[in-house]
Amino acid sequence: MMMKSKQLIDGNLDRNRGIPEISLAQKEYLQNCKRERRFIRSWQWIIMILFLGFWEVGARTGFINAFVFSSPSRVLDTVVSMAKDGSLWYHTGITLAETFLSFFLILLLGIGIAVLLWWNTRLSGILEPYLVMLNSLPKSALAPVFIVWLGANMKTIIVAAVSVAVFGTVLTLYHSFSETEEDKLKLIITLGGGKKDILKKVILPGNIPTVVSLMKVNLGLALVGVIIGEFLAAKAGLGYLIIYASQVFKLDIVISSIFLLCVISVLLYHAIAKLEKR
Amino acid sequence: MSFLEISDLNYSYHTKAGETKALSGIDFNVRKGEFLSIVGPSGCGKSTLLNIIAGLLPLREGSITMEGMPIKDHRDKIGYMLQKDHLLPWRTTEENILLGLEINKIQTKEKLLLAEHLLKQYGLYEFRKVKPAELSGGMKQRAALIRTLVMEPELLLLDEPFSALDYQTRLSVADDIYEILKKEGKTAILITHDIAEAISLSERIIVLTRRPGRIKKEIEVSLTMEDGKKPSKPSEGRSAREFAVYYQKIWKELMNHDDEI
Repeated sequence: MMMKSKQLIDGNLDRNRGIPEISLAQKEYLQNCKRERRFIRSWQWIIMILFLGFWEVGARTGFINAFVFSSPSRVLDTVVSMAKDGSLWYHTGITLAETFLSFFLILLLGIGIAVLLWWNTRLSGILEPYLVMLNSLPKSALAPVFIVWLGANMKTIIVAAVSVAVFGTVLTLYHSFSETEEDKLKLIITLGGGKKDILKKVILPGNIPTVVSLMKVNLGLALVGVIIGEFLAAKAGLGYLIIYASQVFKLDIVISSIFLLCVISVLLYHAIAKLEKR
Repeated sequence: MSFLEISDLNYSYHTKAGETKALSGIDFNVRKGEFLSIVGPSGCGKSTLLNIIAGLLPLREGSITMEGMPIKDHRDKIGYMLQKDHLLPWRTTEENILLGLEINKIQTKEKLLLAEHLLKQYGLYEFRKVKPAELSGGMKQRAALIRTLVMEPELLLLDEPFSALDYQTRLSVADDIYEILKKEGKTAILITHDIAEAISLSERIIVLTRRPGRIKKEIEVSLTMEDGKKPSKPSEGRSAREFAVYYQKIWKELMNHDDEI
């Protein structure tokens, strides 16, 4: 009570001096926000510590089979030794390189095809049902076919990854292109422009936000596609490591690779989020 | 020979549901330097008429000539102002204004100087490096007009260019734009459903009927102020002696359509 009344007086004083003061209610609101944030943060940590703790203790006491489930300390050991012998960088590097390559191909093909469809409404009319079908088809079903056609190599992995995301990208972009305000198109025509000018001055610059949000989705999808590809047709990469190690029952390596994938996806997500802010 | 001659213009829209006649037997002339308004109930084909003159819709029946030549040879002499400013949000004011020059690849020294002059003249020069989001509604509309004017059109088509603005801004932007057009000596056709706006701005008003739009009446407008002079700007003209008379007259013409049905 004492505290409160003092603050109140202070607040009044501030007002008298003409200094922009923060009202008590505002202070309370800000404190509430802070408290809420702290609550959420602490529970995030608690969940992680409990999860890792039970896992570790369970593995050590034999409550769960450490050979099958591995354990946090074993994963840590594995990651450290993989970092030392260089295999960690090699496999992670391969997976990342494949992901980036697929990502840029998806972006390039996606924008290119979407522009083509926008340009030629007849073509888009003809192709629409095929695109819708290809978009909803589970692309992992295609991966074995790619192996037969392209061989068990990086080509298959890239094609698999591209196929996962490219159709969705084309459809989303094409619809976004088509939804451009009619009057904006009219504006360009009344200024003496044609379809090319509409594309260059209105459609492409106006759709940069759509492209960025697609990039966010596609980086994740490219990683999914690359791992599917590596499961089936690779001699290196984290996906290969997971399959290989599971087949020889080295679950430590499997879990470690999955852990590395978690780290990669978080880092990629933050990279794009940063790009979006700019 | 008038500056713009439109004769026997008909136009129909085709949809799967059938054919809709939008304009029927439109016939009128526009003098050089004149400010002409076209009013009519919504859906009467005013916009269609403007779009045909601008070449956005094909001319199928009838003829439109400008200085004796078919209108399609004069596409580059027609400026069009839309309801909203449609400034591109990712471009600065200046880049927006130069859009037409950029598209036509005519960024000559003279044109760039003209753009600079217009920006200065109409109070946008200080805002040339600013994105449209930072401009007021009136400034945006002025910027949109300058974007049209740097193309040096001889005929300006105004498609309810004030309707997206709030009332106060509307009056002052109408004053601004009227002044700019008069100063630059442009011929203008305004379509609107705001009777007061039409009276205060124009020298002549054409009233269209309901769809299919036909010319119902042509009214010459001449306003005098208390002191016997012409109003110096459109907003002033709203308090002219004859204003209410014109208003009643046009209102009656518009209302009469309901009786016909």
